[in-house]
Amino acid sequence: MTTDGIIERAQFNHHTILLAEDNDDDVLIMQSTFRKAAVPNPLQVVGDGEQAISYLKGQGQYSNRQQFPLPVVVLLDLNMPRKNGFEVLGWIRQEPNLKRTTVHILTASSRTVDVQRAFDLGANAYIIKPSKVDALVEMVKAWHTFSQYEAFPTH
Amino acid sequence: MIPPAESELAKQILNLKQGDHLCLFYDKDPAEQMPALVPFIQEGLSRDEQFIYIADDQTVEELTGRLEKDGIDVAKESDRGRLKLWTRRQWRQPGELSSDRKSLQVRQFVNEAMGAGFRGVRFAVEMTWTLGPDIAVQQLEHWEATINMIFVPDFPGRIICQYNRSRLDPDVMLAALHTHPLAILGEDVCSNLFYQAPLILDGSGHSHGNGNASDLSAARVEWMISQLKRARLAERERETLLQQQTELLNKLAQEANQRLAAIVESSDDAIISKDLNGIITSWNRGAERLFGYQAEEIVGRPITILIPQEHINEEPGILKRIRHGDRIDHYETVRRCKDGRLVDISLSVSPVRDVQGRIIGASKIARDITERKRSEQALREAREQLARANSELELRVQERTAELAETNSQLEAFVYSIAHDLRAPLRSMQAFSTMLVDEYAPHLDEKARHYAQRIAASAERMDALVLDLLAYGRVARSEIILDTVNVHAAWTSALCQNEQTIRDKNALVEVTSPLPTVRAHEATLGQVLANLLSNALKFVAPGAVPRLRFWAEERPEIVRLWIEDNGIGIAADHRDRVFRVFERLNPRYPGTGIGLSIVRKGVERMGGRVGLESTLGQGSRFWIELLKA
Repeated sequence: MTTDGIIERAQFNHHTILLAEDNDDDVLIMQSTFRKAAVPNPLQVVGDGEQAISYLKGQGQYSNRQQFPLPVVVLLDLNMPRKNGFEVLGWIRQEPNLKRTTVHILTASSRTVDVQRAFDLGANAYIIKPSKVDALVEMVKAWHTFSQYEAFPTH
Repeated sequence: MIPPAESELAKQILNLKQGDHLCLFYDKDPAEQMPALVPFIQEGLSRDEQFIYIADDQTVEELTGRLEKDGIDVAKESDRGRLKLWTRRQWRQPGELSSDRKSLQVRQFVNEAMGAGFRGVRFAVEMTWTLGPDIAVQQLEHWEATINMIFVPDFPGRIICQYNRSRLDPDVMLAALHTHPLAILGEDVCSNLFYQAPLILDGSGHSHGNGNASDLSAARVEWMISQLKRARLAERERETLLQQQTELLNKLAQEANQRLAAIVESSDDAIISKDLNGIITSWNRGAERLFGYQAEEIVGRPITILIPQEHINEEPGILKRIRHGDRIDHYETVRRCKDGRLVDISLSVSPVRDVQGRIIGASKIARDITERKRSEQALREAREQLARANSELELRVQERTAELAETNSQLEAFVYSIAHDLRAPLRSMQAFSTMLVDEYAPHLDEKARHYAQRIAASAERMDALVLDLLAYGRVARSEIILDTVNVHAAWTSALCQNEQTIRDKNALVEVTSPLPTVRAHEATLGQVLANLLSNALKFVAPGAVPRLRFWAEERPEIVRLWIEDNGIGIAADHRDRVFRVFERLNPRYPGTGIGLSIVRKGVERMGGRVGLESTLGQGSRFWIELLKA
C-alpha cells in the first residue's frame, strides 16, 4: 500500500486476498468458488502457517511485493500444519506494521472454544464454511459485496 | 377470741380434771377471760357436761355475743338445757350468803344434772357479785373453803371463779389467792403456791371461830412446808426429765453425726472442708486417695498447698463467693497432689453455716476427672484425624475429578478432531461432484450426471452419520447437570433445527400451551426433541403433509411429553428395536439409524424414560417422561 487513508470502494477490487489453507481440495474449491462468484480480487494462497507469516513478512520468495502484494484481507484457516491459524493471528496482532490487518477466519470448525479463542486473539470475523458448494458460492458473493463497503486500515 | 386450737392456754385448760377448782384473774375487761373460758365451755359441751355460767361483770347479752363470736351456738345449747347463762339474781338467793345453803344448792344442781343424763357440770362464776354490801371477805373465804370441800378429785364438776382486779378489793383478791388450788393467770394455769388447805370451819361459817390460833399456825406451817417440798419435787422431776431428753437428743445427734461421718468417709469423692481463712478443717478418705495426703498431716494447713502456681488466683475468688453465700458447681480446674503430680478435677464448693445461719466455712467436693479429660482429648484427636482424612479424601476426589475432566475434554477434542478430519473429504467429494456437473454440463449425459449425484449423496449420508455419531457421543459422555428447564425453550430450539424441513414440507405443527418446567439438561432435551421432530417430519407417506402435535401430560411428580405424527407408523414387533443404534426399519427413508438411540440415551441420562405408541399406517406417538421441576 502506498496511499494513505482508507481504501475506497472502487479501489477494493484491485487488492490482493491472501488465503491460508492446507487442504488442497479446499483450495481448489475456493478458487472455483471465487470464479463462480465473480470475485475480481487477485487471490494468493499459502499452504501452512509458516508460509503465511513468511508471505506477510515478505521473506524469501515473498520479498517480491510486485508479485506478492500485502493483502487487504487474510482468509485464515485454523487447522494448518507448522503453525496453525491461531498462531498466525497471534503473530499478526503483535507485529507493529501488520497488527491492524483484517483477518477473517474461514473454517469448518463450529466449536465454541475455537470461536472464542479466535476473537480473543483479535479476529475481525469468524466464517463457518457451509458444506454445500452452492451455499459456499452464495456466501462468497455476499462476502465480497459486503467487503467492498468495509473500511480497511492502511498498513 | 379463741386462741388458735393448740394454744398453750387451751392445752392446759383441756388438761384439767374433774373436781378442779380454779380462780381466774383478769385486769379489767371481761373479754380477757374468754381465751380460757371458751375452750373450757367447748370441752364441757362436747363431753355432755352441763355448763352454768353466772354472768355478772358483763350482761348475759354481752356474754352471749362473745360466746357466739367464738363459735358457740348459745341458742341451741340453751334450748337443749346444756348451757345456762344466769344473772346474779338467778344464782344468789336473797338474804345473807350462807355457805351451807349455797353448798346444798350446788350439790342439788349437780344431782339434777346427773339425773338428767349429763356426765357432769361445769361452773363459771364472775365474782363481782361479791361487791354487794352484804358480803364480808370472811364470808367469801368461808364460801370458797366450802367449795373446796365440794370440789374434790373425781367430783363430777369443775368450777372457775373469775375475779376482776380493777373492781375488787385487794382483800378479796387475797382471799381468792388463799382459797384456790389452781390459778389462771394470763396464759398459764398455775399451781397456786399460796393456797391454804381448807380452814377449820365451825358452825357459824366464819373462818377463825374458836379454834386454837397456834394450832392454826402449826397447820399452816405444815401446809407451807409440804407445798415447798412438793414444788421442789416437781422441779427435780422436771430437771430429770430435761436431762433425760437432753441425753436422748445428744445420743440422736451423735448417731446422726456418725452416720454422716460414715457417708463422708466412704465416699469415693474427695470431701474437704475449710474455714473462711482457707485452712483445712476436715479431710475424708477420698481426699487421702486423691491427693495423697493423710488427714493428720493436712488438717490445719492451708488449702493453697494443693493449688498449683498458675491457679493460685482461684482461691480468693472462691472464698469471696462462699462468704457471699453462693455455691460453685462443677468448676473444672487443676490441683497438685502430695507427690507433685498435677490432677484434673471437677470442684463443687458450698458454704457451711452454723446454727445461727452464719457462714463459717466451705465444703468442697473434688472429683478426679483425669480419665474423662483423657477420653475427651482422645475424642478430639479422633475427630481431628477424621477431619484431616476427610479433607484429604476430598482433595483426592477433586484431583481425580479434575483428572477425569481433563481426560474427558481430551477425549472430546480427540473425537471432534477425528470427526472434523472425516468431514473434510466428504465436503470435497460433495463439492467436486457438484462442480463436475456445473462446469461440464454440456459434456455429461443423463447417466454421468446421475453418477455425480450419487457421489454427492453418499458424501452427504456419511456426513450425516459423522454428525449423528458426534451427537451420540456428546449425549452419552458429556457432563449432564440437571437443572430446571423450561420445555418451551427446548422445543423452540428443536423447531429451529428443523426449520428448513418444516418450511419445505409445509408441515403443520400444533403445540398445546402452557408447557411445563422439568428437571432436565437443556441442550440434551433440545437435541432429543429435535430428533423426534425430525423423524416425525421425515416418516410421512410420500407427498403427504406432515401434521404434528406436541403436548405435555402432567402426572404426579413426572411430566410426559408427547409428539404425535400422521406418519407411516411402526409395526408392533418393531417397536422395541426402533431405539437401537444403527437400526433403520425403513431404508426407503434417509437416515443414519442413530437418531432415536440418541433420544433414548439422552432421556435416560436425564433420569427419564422413553416409549412409543404406534399403529402401522396410522401414525406414531412418541413420549418421553421427565421429573417435574
